Amino acid sequence: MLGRKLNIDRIAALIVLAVCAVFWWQLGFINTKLDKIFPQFVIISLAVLSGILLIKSFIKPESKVIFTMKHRGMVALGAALLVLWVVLIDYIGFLITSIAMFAILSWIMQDKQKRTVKAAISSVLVGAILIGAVYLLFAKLLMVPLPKGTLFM
Amino acid sequence: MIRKLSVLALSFFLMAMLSSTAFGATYPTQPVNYLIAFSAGGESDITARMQQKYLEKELGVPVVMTYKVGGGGAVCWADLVRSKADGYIIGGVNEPHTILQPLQSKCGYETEQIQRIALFQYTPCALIVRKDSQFKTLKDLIDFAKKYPGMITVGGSGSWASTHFTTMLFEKAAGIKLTYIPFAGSGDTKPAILGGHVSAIVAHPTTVVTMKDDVRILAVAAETRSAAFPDVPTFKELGFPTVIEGSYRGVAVPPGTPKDIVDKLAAAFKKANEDPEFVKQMTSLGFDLVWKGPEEYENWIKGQTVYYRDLLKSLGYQN
Amino acid sequence: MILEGLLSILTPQILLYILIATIGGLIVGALPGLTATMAVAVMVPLTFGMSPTTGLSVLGAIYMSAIYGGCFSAILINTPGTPGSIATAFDGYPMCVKGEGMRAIVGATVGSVVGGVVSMLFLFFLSPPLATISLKFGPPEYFWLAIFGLTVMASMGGEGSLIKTFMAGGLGLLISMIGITIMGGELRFGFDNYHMQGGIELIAAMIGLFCIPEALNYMSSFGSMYDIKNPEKMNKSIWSAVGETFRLYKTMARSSIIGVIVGILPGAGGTIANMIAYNDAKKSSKDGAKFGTGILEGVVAPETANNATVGAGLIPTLTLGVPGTSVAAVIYGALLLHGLRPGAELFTTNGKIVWGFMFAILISTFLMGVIGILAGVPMYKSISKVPTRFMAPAIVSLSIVGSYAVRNNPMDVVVMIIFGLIGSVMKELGLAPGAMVLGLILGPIAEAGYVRSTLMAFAAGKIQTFVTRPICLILIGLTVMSLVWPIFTKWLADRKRVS
Repeated sequence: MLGRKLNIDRIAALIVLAVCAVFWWQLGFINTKLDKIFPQFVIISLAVLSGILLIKSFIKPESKVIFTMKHRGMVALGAALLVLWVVLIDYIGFLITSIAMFAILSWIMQDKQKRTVKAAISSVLVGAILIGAVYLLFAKLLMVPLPKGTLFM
Repeated sequence: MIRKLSVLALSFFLMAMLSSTAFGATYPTQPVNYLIAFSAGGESDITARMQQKYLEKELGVPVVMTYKVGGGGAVCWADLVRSKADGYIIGGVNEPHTILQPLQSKCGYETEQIQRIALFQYTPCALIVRKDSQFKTLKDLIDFAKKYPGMITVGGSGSWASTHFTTMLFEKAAGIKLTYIPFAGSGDTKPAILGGHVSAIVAHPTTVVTMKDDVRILAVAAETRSAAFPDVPTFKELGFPTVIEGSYRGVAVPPGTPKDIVDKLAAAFKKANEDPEFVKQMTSLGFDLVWKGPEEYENWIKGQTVYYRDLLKSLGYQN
Repeated sequence: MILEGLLSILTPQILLYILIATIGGLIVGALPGLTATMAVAVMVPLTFGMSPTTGLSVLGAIYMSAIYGGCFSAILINTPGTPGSIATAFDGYPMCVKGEGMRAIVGATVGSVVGGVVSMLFLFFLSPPLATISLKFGPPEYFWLAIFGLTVMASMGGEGSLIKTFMAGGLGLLISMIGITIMGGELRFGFDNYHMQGGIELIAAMIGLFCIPEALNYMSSFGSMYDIKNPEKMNKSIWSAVGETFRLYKTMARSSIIGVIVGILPGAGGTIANMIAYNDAKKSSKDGAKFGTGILEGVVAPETANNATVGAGLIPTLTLGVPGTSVAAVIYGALLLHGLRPGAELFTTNGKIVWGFMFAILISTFLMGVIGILAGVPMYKSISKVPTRFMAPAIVSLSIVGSYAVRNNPMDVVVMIIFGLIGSVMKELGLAPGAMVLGLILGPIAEAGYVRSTLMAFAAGKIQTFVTRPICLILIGLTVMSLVWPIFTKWLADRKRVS
């Protein structure tokens, strides 16, 4: 699917229409009339716009290759790692997770030949210093308790 | 690299373990986290900060404020009941919020889950108009409302909460119809009344204590007159004894906290509440100080829960 | 009184605090993910040990400089440092990539200082009348203001088509409605999950929408950030850029006014000022079509407006006790905690403290300008050399911290990442995240205005309440013009071409 030319208008219209449907369904659970009027108006307008866009996508199709970046797989991996990062914070806490993820990301974001042990060390060091500084600033100086992770609680 | 990382992880793990172990000393040995359910600068925040220095003196450890804002307080309280019950996390609670929210929706906690320590502050609801309003007394307003039902707009904070209840109880008791307009918080009602966009607001004396010259309080929904506004009659005095509503502030801990910790915290808060300097600061801001210790507070909550359950039903609330 | 206030802060100690606060605020504002609101909120407890004058001056200085600081990351790494600099990135980053980053920074700096000073002057001299004007805005006015704000969406679109831009805005509106309803107090669009009752935290969503796609972008192309052409021209260009910016005095004037108006309105929040100003500059400039490709005006307008909200936001805060912007609300709380009471008596009983506070912010405004330009060149040079492999995770780390620190709610970090992914997909599909943000911000304002105005209209028995109030008419007029103007000018241009 990636790498082929896709009709982005059509995709956008379909996605938005799906979102409208979900929200419309959820609206059925609301009891107070006045709370429904504005959302209904927005959903209907959105659906109409999507409809127009959908029609336009057949008449004047705008095709584009999406996710055209040089290292597509890298972006996907990066996105997955970001999600993992956020999930792990809850378990291992901000400090460890972030240093680890920083190190991992900064190491793999290179051309294959540059992924040396030396680069790994610099990744961990930069990560530790940066994240450590942020952690100290927030958790100790500014008293914003960053998540400690359920493993430690 | 794996080895380096695991050494790093292990050392952090050890450090964390060491820092969180109290070496057999009595509570409290670490800073206490005071969770605040509303944004920085708000009344709950101000109250907590005023208590802070007395608490720190009594408990001997730093007391650190942490804000957990959202859902009208529900986010904070849902978090509180899931926190470790070791006395190092306490939370400011607002009544009747913690009673109403579980009755009205799935908010992430149940009223009974909150282990209450002390109730220390009270501010009644009050019906307020502008100084230049045509309504000089409550009777003026009632007469007008009888002539033109629904025309008087009354601003309040939130729906199906204390200010809304006050309005509805007043409507029922006086046999009139008003139009209640919900605003987001008591702060929002200030420009609404000052700008004349609503005829009246239901708020607290604390909301208007800075605007004494611009507003007139018609009545206060309490058993006795407010210390900050002693010239203002209560709804009870004016013949409407059912119109009693207000907001209370208290402090609580996660369920299962040991009794001796609860008692120690209660004692500390009591000390703060009785300090003359503190009393002076609070009353100057329009607050009334009250006191209910752990057992008294819990019993009071049980009674209030029944009251509100019936009230919601009688006012026609549908879930 | 006024003089006393000024003198009270001219001590070496307080001036040092102001300097440190200015630098600190600048840094926080410049770091993506950390916002001005968070910076001030986090500092409030630390000011308790200080005297009221010192404490408030510190908070005020942080406020002003953090709002300005947001331009740096907007220009240098295409991620707004604070929500007030969202529109700055539209032209700021393209300028940076073209090698004109210094020119952009200078433009943003001069604009910010001018906007800040103008709003402080309004605060000094015109507080009472402006406060009165802000009181005239009730639910109907806020409704039409929000509608007008939504029309501004049209210029947030970049190269996307108008339909898609409005769709993005509509999505923003829809998402903003997740949470507890106004009338019934029910949880709407929450799938019955109690985690959703806080609604979608605006700042978390914005951080996600703008910072994460940029970070993911770096993952696709390794190396350093960008190459600066003609680096030796940088120092020379500062003064010429200053001159250029001052020639844009008309833009700065309009943007300042926009910032002041948005700032004095409690219900508006302050963050939309930069987008309204960008839209206004785009529409009224002869280079309007070039907006988005990297022109100076597109940077000066939003930055002037956002700093203009600072002084203005304090106007209703100090005179009425009603905060004009979200940061002003935090400062309001700090005022109360230090024992000051906003209102008429504030200027009489505590005049010295208040005037000292205001002068401190003024001083900080000029300081931040100087520091910003001095720091600008080295920053520009060093950022351009940072390897993207460090920049990307750094941005992500700061985004995580910044979105968490707003409400101490882990959910917000989740929201941030989700919106980050949404933002990436949106970019690929041609849906503008800027438009979505506008919808997110204005949705609650529009709906609240609508619901309350409806109730007011029912009570009065006539629908006119909704439309015939004088300010409403002005706003409706602006909205219509905003929609019709681009069509009108296009029609004019087409006619010219034909003849």
